[in-house]
Amino acid sequence: MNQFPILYVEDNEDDVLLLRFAFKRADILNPLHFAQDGQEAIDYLAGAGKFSDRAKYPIPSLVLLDLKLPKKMGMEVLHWIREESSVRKLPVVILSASAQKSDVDRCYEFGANAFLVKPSDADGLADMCRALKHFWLTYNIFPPECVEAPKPIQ
Amino acid sequence: MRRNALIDELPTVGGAAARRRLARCKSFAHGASLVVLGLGVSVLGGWLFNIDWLKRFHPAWATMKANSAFCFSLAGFSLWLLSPRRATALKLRLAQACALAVTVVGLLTLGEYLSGRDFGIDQLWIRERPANAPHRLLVRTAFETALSFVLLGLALLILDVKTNRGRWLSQYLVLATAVITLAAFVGNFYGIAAGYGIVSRASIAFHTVGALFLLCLGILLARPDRGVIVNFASDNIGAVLTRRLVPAALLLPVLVGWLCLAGEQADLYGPAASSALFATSLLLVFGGLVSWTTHTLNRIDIERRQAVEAHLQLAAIVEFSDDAILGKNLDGIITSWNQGAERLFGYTAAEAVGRPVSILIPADHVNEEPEVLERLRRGERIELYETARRRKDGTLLDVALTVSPVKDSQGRTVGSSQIARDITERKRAEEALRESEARLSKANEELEKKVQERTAKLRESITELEAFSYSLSHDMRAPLRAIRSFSQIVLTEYGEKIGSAGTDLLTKAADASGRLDRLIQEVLAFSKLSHQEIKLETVEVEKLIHRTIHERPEFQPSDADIEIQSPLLPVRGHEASLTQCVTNLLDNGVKFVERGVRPRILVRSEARGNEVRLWFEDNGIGIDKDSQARLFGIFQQLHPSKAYPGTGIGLAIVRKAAERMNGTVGVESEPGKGSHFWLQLPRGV
Repeated sequence: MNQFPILYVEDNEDDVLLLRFAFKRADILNPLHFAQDGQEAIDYLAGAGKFSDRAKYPIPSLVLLDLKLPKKMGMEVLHWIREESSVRKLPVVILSASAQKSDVDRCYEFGANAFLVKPSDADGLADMCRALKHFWLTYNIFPPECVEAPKPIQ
Repeated sequence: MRRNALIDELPTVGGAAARRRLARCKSFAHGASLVVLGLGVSVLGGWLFNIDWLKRFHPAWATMKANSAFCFSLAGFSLWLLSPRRATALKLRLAQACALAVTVVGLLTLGEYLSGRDFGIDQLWIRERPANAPHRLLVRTAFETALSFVLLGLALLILDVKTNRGRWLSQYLVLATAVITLAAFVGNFYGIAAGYGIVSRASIAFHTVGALFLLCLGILLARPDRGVIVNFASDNIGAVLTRRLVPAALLLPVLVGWLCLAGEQADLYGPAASSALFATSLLLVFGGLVSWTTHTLNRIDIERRQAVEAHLQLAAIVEFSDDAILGKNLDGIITSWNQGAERLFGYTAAEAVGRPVSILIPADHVNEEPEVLERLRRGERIELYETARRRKDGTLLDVALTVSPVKDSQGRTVGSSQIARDITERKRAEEALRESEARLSKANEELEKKVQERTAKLRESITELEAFSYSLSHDMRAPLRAIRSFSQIVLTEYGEKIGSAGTDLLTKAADASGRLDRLIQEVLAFSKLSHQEIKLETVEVEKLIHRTIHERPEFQPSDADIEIQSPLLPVRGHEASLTQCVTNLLDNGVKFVERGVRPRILVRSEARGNEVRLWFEDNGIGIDKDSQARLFGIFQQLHPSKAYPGTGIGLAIVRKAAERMNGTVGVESEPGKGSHFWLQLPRGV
């Protein structure tokens, strides 16, 4: 199991907290970073402002992206990653509250790697995180440029 | 028609046959002039060179006198010059000079007779001049001949002069000459005696008489279309009669008389028998001639009456036609005017005929008329030409004109007939139609605009609704998720510390938030069904149901027996909506069973006309009649949520989806005996 950093883009603090719990219950030890809105996610990935400190804010190997975000919507962030960023191959997993068909369609069209619906209870979320761990953090092989990020300082 | 243009304009001579006859007359005149000229010249030659047979042609005949031959030469030449209708001025002068010379010679000869003196003119052309007086008389032109020359010379001189009263004097002179000549001829013909002439002591030769006749005829026929001669040449019935009877009347008595006389002289019979023979012969011949003529005239008269009858009938058709029919000549003068025209334009026939057709044309249309006339001259026909006309009272009306050229028997365009139909009403109707069409199209435009506005508004509110639903599904469910999840975390992490009463309550809180979440999702589904666009297509129901069962564990054999009576008929519907219906109906089937009873559902289809009814027959608790009515309403829960958890929206969603797919839903059920839900949709292909 790898230890690549993960970026969770989510404006709802409850969801952030719940994911932390779920990660803990699923025994996921990867460093987890957060961005509160779409703009912050772009800034983070671009290394703008305070995010230029890559020791503190390493480039993630995997992004968990909510769709409904303040400032810039998740779809825009995805589009930016695929079209404008320096990390175009970065695996992005959509984590949405609903599986609206049009959202699913467009996300895949824009290059999402997976589309997951937030489970409505803690047990479900923990289950989902275990699946994430098995797939993305154990078996999945990342593109080379997404794993060369400097190791965070312990 | 009050006046008939055709009859008015009919040439006095008549049709083609008469025209040909006229041409023949002129040719005859021309030929006659040459014969007379030739005769005169040759006889004159006889006198000049003393060739006796040229003077008399037949030993038994008297000689034509030298002066007579001279006069014939001049008269023949004069007639030859005049016989074309339009001679040049020079020719005309020459012809008149010749004619004058003839008259003068005639007058001098008459003078000789009357004065008893010899002017010496009779021997002018003669080599061997007779010395004594009686012999001189033998070469002097006969008195009648001289008189004839005076008259014929004058006739040629004034050939084309018309008196104030419209008469042609020359013709009368010629006719007088003919009478004189006839008398001389009869005298000679009967051979009573040389010099038997009424006045003359000189004899008149046969050829002189013939030449005189020929000259008379020639002068008359040189101008066959005027005065008394026209009666011979025309098609008119009088002319027919004249042509047939006059030659007979002139020649027959002479011929028969001569025959009788000859017989008498040959001592075949006495004078009494001769007279009787004469009378009888004439009677027979004229009787036959008259009866033949009568027959012809009757035939002509019958034909003419029939023609008049037909003509009157045609005229009546025109006269009493409802359309205005008028005739005009090529100068645009009205020549006929029917009752329809009187009604349409307000002018009576008496007022209109003879006036230019422009009295009917409004000022702003006058420039059309010359063009119309020009086209008519070319013989074109103008059909349903729409224009305006002015009535007598000055009001304007719209008319459709059909103008056709009217041709004479020669095929020449001599005028036109015009049929005018009043289209004022039609024009007005067309105008009204155009206006109402314009109004309608304006109203349509407004309506279209309104529809577009409404549609835009509707679209806007749908967009708003969708945004609302979206936000509902994301933001409103997030706190619920948090409550539920945190409750669960507390339960797992701190369950022991809060004791069983605490965990119990916290579990209730978590369940309640879970129910609310489901409720929100179903309300969203329902509202989405109500406003989303639905595209109907054929759906393979059987595949769809298999897939639904496959996706939901509670429909699988581990929990329930769902049997499909294959094959299921395809329907016309919307796949996602139909999936939702099927899921909800199956859901109901497996949920509402007595505790401990294994759910069993039979799915089957039956054709109903153009539709398919899908049955979902369960072994559940059943529904009483009263409840069935409100079963498909939203938020209708028949059972306490503790016993059968649910939101009360599932069947409302089914009903809404069915309605959107042009279908219906229903149920047949009795408490304790299971429920048979059905969904009926148009049949697929």
